[in-house]
Amino acid sequence: MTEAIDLLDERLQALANPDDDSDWAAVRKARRRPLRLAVAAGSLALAGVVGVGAALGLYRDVLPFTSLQPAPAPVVRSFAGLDLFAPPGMATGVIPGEARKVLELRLSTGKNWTMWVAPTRSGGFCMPSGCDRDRSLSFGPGLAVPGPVSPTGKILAPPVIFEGSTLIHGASTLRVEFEDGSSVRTPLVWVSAPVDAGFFVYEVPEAHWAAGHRPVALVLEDAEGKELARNTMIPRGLAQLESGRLH
Amino acid sequence: MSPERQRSHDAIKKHQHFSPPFIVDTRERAIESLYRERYVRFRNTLATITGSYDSARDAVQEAFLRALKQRRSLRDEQALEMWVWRIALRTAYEFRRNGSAPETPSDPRVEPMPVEAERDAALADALRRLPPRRRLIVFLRYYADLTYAQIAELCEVSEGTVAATIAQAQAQLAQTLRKDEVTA
Repeated sequence: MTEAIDLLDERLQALANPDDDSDWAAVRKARRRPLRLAVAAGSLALAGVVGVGAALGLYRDVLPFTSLQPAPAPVVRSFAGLDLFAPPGMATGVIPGEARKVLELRLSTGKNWTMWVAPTRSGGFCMPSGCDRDRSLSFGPGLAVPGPVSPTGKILAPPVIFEGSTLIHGASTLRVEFEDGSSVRTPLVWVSAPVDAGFFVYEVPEAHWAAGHRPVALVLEDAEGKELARNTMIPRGLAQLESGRLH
Repeated sequence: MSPERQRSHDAIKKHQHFSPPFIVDTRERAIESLYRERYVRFRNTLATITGSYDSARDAVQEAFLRALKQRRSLRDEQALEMWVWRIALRTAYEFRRNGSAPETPSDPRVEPMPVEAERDAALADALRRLPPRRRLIVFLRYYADLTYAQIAELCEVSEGTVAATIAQAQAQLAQTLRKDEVTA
């Protein structure tokens, strides 16, 4: 009997899957995600966009939201996690199963930055960077610095990203203004109901991280170049970061 | 500070990633070490609950994420591994309840249970025929490499029950294998 059990032990061990597909970086990344989600009912945002719409040449059109690529299970779970421990009245009401890929930006690092959007039950929407649960933010830009930052606030590696959303229907472009007087434009991607909002993503080039060249304003423009909304608070975050005021 | 300014401030702070030595979190390091050393054991064991290696992988990722978030609630650092195992088992059962359950097999008495079946089809089949609770205990012993005492703690039974369960499982497996071999 003992021999039989020993043999069984060996056979059991041999049956285990030895492949190691572990990914600690993914655990850490997922850990940061809810923080980003909690950040900004107002923080959404970006410039050489390569979005879902860009590939189709549809920037000036409204993409049918429900026809966009559905989010994979981990993203759906991430959205679902938003309301897991939400106190009464604080739940976003996000509908995770309806999440879609709205934008994808190729970063200077070679990686892709994907903006997933999921509608909420109250007519708003959530992105990985925040929720506008009740459609209260006409222009909601945000700043993301996901890479390492030195103790003095110096950004050590890309990317630096503005991303966000708008409900201003005439908006077609985001203009990023810099301290040196230059500016760049990036198109918005509009999606249909149930989200019915415009989205943008812009990676700030390394040349514009330094004093004298940093972003100073994010401006929404219509197709004629008319200014519809302006935000100077979010871009100032870069300067504040280095001055240590955010530490 | 205005609400918008506060949001901006918070947004930027939360997007920063500071590396040690500025913040040294020993508990986080311990969780990371456990993950790196025992990932395969966790995944292989949870697979018997979730029904596939893919969903088991997701469950392990989620379990360690939860462990990281809840690490300050751990009172005894010496008990870290068992604490993470408890989270992992709960997460796997949750995954199973929420739709990551295995596909329904054609034989209702048989639960799908991922192992490298092609290496030993007879044993894989015999394992599938074990009652789920007994099979989990076998997996905790053989694939998680936990002691009887640790399994007893996790499953909230006595060590004697664990020993008896494993002995019964071994006997049942051996009997099934013998029967299958004779039939073959």
